[in-house]
Amino acid sequence: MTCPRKDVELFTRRASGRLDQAEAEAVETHLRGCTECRATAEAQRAVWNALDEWPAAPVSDDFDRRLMARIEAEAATPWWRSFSEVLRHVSWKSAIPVAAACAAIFAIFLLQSPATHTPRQKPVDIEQVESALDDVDMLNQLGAAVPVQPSARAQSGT
Amino acid sequence: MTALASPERDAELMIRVREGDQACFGLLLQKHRGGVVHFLYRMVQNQAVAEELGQEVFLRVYKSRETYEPTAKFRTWLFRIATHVALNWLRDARNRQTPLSIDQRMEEEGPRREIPAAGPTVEQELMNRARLREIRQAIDALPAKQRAAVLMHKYEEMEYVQIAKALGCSESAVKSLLFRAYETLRARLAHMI
Repeated sequence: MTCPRKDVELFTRRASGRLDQAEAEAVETHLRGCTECRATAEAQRAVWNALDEWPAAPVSDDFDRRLMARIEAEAATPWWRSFSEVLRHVSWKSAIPVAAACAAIFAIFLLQSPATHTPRQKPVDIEQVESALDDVDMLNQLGAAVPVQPSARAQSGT
Repeated sequence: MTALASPERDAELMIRVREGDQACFGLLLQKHRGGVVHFLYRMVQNQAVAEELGQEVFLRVYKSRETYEPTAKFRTWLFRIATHVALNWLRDARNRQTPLSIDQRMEEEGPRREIPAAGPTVEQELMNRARLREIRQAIDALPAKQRAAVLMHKYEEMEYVQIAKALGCSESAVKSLLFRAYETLRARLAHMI
């Protein structure tokens, strides 16, 4: 059965020595009477101590000198070279899906927008329609009055 | 030197860097160079790469001097940059064709304890190296974000809130990352502790 007071985060803080006195006393009292929590807390402390066995190497003596040289070199670099350097480090592999998404959005925009590109028709003027109908009537009347030329008949084949 | 230890002092130094005081950048470098490079070394487990990335971190700090605003602790901001640089490197390393194995990385470099005349025997030293290899492998096997959280918590003694800011996540997410990471480490290292 798992102890309801088992708190690995608390045991980690105990291992790192970050508990205040009241917390530390409460934890130690509980650990004295709880085998399960004591085992976890001790294992946690052992891990914490084991990690101490990994030393980090000292930083090279010329670290600062190299950094300052880089800073000076960067300052002397023209902006376009810095820009091309940035582009060189861009992961084009990850840019492909972005470009594909942009192309898809553009295509959808084009497909949906033809209505906006067709010239708008002017609203129909009713007087202009009436005038046009009058003109057609007048032409029909003229057509009836004017005899059709024989050459025109021959051309039409009638 | 005690004044140098305060976070407010770091922010003040950075503001002076912004105003063109190069000497203050040198002081910041002197104070934080070790912590940043050690963190990066444990993240990527290669000293040469760690120093290269460390240069990148401080170069970015210097370039950001114009826009620097002391809204967060300088050290937290610094580790945010360092974490970003390390995670990017690890992501790119995954895509490289021939990533170095941890054994190769350990062979190539890594601090080795010198055996003093009155020190441990050769056998004991071999055992120590085997333990160290297991510890490094256990850390290396953690997901990158969990690894970063453990390294900041264990070796840089950062609080949850600082780690959260460095990783760009919530404090409860950091607790969860650390819980899972320490559970994994306990399981992996159980046979040697």
